[in-house]
Amino acid sequence: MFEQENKAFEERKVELLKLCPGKYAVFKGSEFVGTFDTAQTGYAAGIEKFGNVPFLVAHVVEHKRVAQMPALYLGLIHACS
Amino acid sequence: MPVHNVHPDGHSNASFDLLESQGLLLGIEVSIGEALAASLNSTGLPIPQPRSGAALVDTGASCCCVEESHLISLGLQPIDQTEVHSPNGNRTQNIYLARLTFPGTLMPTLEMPVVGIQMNQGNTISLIGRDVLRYCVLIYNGPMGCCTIAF
Repeated sequence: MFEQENKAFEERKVELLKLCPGKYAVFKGSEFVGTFDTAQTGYAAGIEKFGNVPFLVAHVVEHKRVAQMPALYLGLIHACS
Repeated sequence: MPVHNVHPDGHSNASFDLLESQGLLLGIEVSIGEALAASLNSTGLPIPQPRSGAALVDTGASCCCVEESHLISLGLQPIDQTEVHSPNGNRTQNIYLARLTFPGTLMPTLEMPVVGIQMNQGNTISLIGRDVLRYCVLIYNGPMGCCTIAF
C-alpha cells in the first residue's frame, strides 16, 4: 500500500523538509495535493478532492519513528485480571 | 484547564485495588472524522455509529491505537503506515484518521491519526499513548485509587 505515494513523497522530501518541516503532505498516486498544518486538515483536503479512498497524509519529518506499545505486544494488558 | 478525576468503576468509593488491577481505563467512542462525515452527508450516505468501549491510558505506548476491525467497520481508509516494534521484529500497521470522544468526561474530543492494531482485548478497544499525554497533566494517585487528567 502507498508504494506510488511514498515514492512521490521521497522525491519531494528534501524540498518539503526545507520548506515546511513538521507539516503534513498529501499524495494520491504520484499526485501531490499540498501541505497542511495538521493531519486533520490534510485529511479533509484529501476527502474533498478524492472522496473516501486511500491517500497518503505523510508527516514531513526526516525519519519516521517506530511506534512502541510494549504492553500490548508482550501480552501484559490486563495481565492481573 | 479542564480537570477530570477518574475512578476505575466510575464511583468515588471504588475499591483501591481496581486501579492497580485494571489500570487507568476511560470510556471511549471512536467515530469518523468531521470531513468524512460531511462528505457522506453531502452524498446522502449514512454516517456510521460510533464504536464504544474502553481505552487504557498506557504511558508505555508511544502513540494512540485502536482495534483495527472497528476502524474498518466505520469505513475508514488508511492515510499512512507505520512500523510498530514487537518482540518478533517490526511490523507494518495502518494509520487512520479517527475521532475519539470520552463520554461523561471533560476531556476534549480528539481528531487525530491512530494506529490500527489487532488488540483482541475484549471491551478495551484503544490505548491512549504519549502522543496525547504530551498535552495533559496526568496524576496517578495510587493510595486513593484514582487518577486526575487535566488538558
